[in-house]
Amino acid sequence: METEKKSFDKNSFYSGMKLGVPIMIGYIPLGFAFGVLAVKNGVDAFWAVMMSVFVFAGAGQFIAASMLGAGASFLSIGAANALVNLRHILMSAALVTPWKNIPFRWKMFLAFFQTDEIFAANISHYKSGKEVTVTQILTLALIAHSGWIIGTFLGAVSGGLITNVEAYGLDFALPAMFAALLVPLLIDRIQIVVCLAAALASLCFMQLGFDRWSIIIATLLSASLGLYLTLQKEKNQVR
Amino acid sequence: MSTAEGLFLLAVMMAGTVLPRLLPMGLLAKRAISRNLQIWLSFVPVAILSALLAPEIFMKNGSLFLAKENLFLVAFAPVLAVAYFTKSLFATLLTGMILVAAMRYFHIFA
Repeated sequence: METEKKSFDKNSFYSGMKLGVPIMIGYIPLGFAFGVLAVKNGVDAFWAVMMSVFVFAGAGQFIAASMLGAGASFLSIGAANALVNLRHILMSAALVTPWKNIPFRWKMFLAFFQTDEIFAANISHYKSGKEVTVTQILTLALIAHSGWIIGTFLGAVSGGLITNVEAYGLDFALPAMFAALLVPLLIDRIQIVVCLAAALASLCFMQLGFDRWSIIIATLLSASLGLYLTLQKEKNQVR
Repeated sequence: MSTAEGLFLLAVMMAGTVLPRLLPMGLLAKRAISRNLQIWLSFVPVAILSALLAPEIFMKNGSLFLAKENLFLVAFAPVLAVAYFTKSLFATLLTGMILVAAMRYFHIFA
């Protein structure tokens, strides 16, 4: 039985596919847009694709491409990328509990793939009470990553051919994906309050010019509000 | 871009991407997480996605853009409805992209 369980797990593979394919389809236009932007800013197609293979950070890569075009130093590009990726510290921490039974080495490897979308898909999978398996996480991650790489390749080689990605609504892929991942997570009243608070705070800090810090500050504040409301609710129930 | 330059760029980019994703996993894995921290972390997914989404929909070039010419804002309501009723990432993505493309093609609000 034990060996049977450790061999290829079909159900986990299928649920990984089911979650991964839509993200892959969303990542192709996003990767495409990155590929076009990178080449237009003087990054060779080869290095644009390598970046998508080894870095796999949507926002960070877009910023890198535009900073390269502006002649920024590699170190300042690295710093900007680290700053936009700070939010992943919070995501990674949120995965520690659901992933507690995953072997440590696998955890380190799988953590590399946790972009906003893949992370959210994993979390919604666990919220529905499904089993946490390496096969499911890896399948989802590799399928989604392949979309990002294929998109980058197509964008980088076609470069100037397709100039107007907006005509195809490709620029709406990212917001639509965020919305699709967010809605299933709004399972109770406090989560909805946290959602509205984070949205409002993010808009306010953006408007005030906090730029990339807005996302992190809004997240810290609204998650704290969620904790406060949960503790208050528990206190009232005890009474 | 030379090979050395390319590799150096990859290295600095990887450091800034991989470390935030690996460190908490490595540091928190061995010790127990307090209950309050667990509750707090349970709000992180919703908080981050909302904080990322709101500026994409309600802003353009860093300032509020609340007008019917903001096609993302117009498409947002149907996209939310599709997300809620189908629970399908694919259907939501497709609806959103087709809506925005169609509004641009037929010059609706744009």
